[in-house]
Formats: sequence, C-alpha cells, structure tokens
Amino acid sequence: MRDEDLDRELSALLDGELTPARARELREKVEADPRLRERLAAFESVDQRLRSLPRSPLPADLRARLQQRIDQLAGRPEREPVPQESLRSRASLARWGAPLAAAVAAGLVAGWLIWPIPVSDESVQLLQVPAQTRVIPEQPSPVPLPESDTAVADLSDEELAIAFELETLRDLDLIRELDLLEALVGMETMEEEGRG
Amino acid sequence: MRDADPDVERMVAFCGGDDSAFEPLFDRWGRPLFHYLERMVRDSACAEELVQETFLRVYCARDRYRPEARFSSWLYRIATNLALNELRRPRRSRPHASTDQTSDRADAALQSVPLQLVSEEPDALKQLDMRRRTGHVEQALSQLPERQGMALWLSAVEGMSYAEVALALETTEKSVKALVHRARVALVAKVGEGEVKERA
Repeated sequence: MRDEDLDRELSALLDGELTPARARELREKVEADPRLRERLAAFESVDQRLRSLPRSPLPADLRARLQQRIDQLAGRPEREPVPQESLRSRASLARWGAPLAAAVAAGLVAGWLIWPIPVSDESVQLLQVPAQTRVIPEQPSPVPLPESDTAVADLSDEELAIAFELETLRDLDLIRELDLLEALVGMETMEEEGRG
Repeated sequence: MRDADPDVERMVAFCGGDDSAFEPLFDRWGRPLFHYLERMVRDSACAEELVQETFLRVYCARDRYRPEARFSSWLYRIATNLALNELRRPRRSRPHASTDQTSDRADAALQSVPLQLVSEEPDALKQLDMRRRTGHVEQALSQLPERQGMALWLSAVEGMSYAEVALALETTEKSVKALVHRARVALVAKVGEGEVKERA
C-alpha cells in the first residue's frame, strides 16, 4: 500500500469508517511504526482542536424571528413580543377596569332613572310606530266592550287587545295572569269563610 | 433510511399536520447548524439568517418531504446549499467578521499580556495556549476549500458518517473520504506552519 493510501486509511480509522478487521490490522501497523503513530496523533490533535473551537451561543431571539417569518408565510397574524411596559399597563387596566366600568354603568342607570330624557316629537312618532314589532292591526273604530264573560271568551286575543286598547298581546297575558291571581285569592277567601 | 431516527419521526408527524413537532427539530438542530454555518460563512449575522432560511425551507417542504435519509443529512444539505450560494455572492470577497474578530482577540491577548505576568498564573497560561492553538486551527479552517472544510466539520465535529456527509454535500462516500482526508492533511500542515512561525 502506498504511503498516501495508508494516510487516507488513518483518516478513515479516526472517523470509524473501516471494517473492524481492517481497523484492527491498521492499529497493529500504527503501534509498530512511530511515523504512523505520529501521523495519527497529528490528525487526532487537529480534530480535537476543531471540536474545542469557541462557539457563539444561539441568539435568544432567533426562534421568535423564525416564528415570525413562518407566521408571515402562513398568512397568520404576527405575534409581536409584548413589551414589559405594555404588560404592566394591561395588568393595571385589568385590576381597575372592571370596578370602573361597573361604577360608570351604575351612574348611567341612575341618571336615566332620575332625569327624564327629552324626546323630540319625531322620535316619539318613531317609537309609537315600530313597524316590525307592532302586533295589533289598525282598526278604523274601536270594538265595543263585551257585555258578558261568555262574549269575552269568544273573542280572539287580537280582538281583545283592541277592545282594551292594549299595545301588545303581552299586556293581555299580563291581564290574564292578574285575573288568575284574583281568582286564586277569591278561592282562598271563600275557603277561609267556609272554615269559619 | 434508519427507522430509529426520532427526528425523521418528528418531521413525518409535522408533515401529517402536527405543528408541535416542528419546534423540537429546531431545539435539537438550531445550535449545531448555527455553528456549522458560522464556520462556513464566517459571519455570525449571516449564519443566523441562514439558520432561519434553512428551517423555513424545512417548514415549506412539509408537503413533499420523503423520509429517505436521516433528518440531519437532509437538513445539512439544505443548509450547505444555502451556505455555498452565500459564499458565491460577489460581496463575500470581503474579510470575514467572526474569524477576524476571533483572531484579533487572540492576537490582542497575545500582544497585550506580558509573558512574565501570565507565567505566574498556570491557568491563564493554559488558556492563552489554548487560544493560540484554536486561533491557528480556526484560521487554517477558513483557508480550506469550502467543501473540504464542510466535509471535515460534519465528520469530525458533528460525528456524521461518510454516507451522511455524502448526502449533505450531494456527493459520493468516496469523495467524502478524499475531502475529509485532504482537509485533515491541509490543517495539520497549516497549523504546524503557524506554530513554527510563532516559535520563530
């Protein structure tokens, strides 16, 4: 084997690229030959120095920058790092914001209850004619009040609402509930009188 | 392909829609890749850009990735191509910052510290000697042909097999064997020259 080939084999030996048999054979040669020993030591020394070269740390923000570029690629909104000052402001807002909002809301409600809101004629008209919500159809003349309960029972809800000049059918339900309540109270009174 | 490569499994998972599998790949390979690129382009800022670019390409390749080799071989292949493109750019003819900075630091340390003071501190002397030695090897590495330097770094420092280096450099194992050997021989000669000059 030529010297050059042997030299190359030494390099491969260092890299663990020889077969076990060839590696054993070469090691025996190296042990027997001081020149080969020196050569192998020189190669090892160079490798060792390469491995011990100073290495800069990976920049801390590199991951964030990569993520930003990935977000841009993927069309996602960028996740910008939030400055500490901004984080403090947000924390402060969270601490004071809720009670403040509650106080403002309470003030508005109180104000609305205490001071009547001046309403223009135009807005009154608009309020009186809610086209979508008004349920009761327009009637040319009021329906005469029913004379008996039987007659009332025969009327439809709409007719009843018109008869009582109610704004919505919900008011009619309310009246019915009141009637029911009255009836219950009446029954209780009768029972008490019966016991007495 | 070696089935046992956990990074291939992560990449396959990432390709399958598991976005969380991408981060461990960066955690595992970001730093060694940065050092490799830093040595090759000899500019830290440029190496940072190239690391980002490499991982962006990995990200974009999720639809066409084929697990045919170790993940690291594929990753270094992307990085090597980017580094070679960067080195071929015309503006690359200027001196390289990081190597020069390191050499300057070593030279300054050599010149500014009086030897008799250093000799009183054995640790400091050892450190100085180490700096001198690494300074020589760093300078010698920067003078090697690009592919020789890359092949030696991947084999001797990153511990890749010739087959893996061959994939990373898009060449044959036989070529890698020759590249690594020539690089070693050149480094031994250059480092030796540097040390002889210093003694003289």
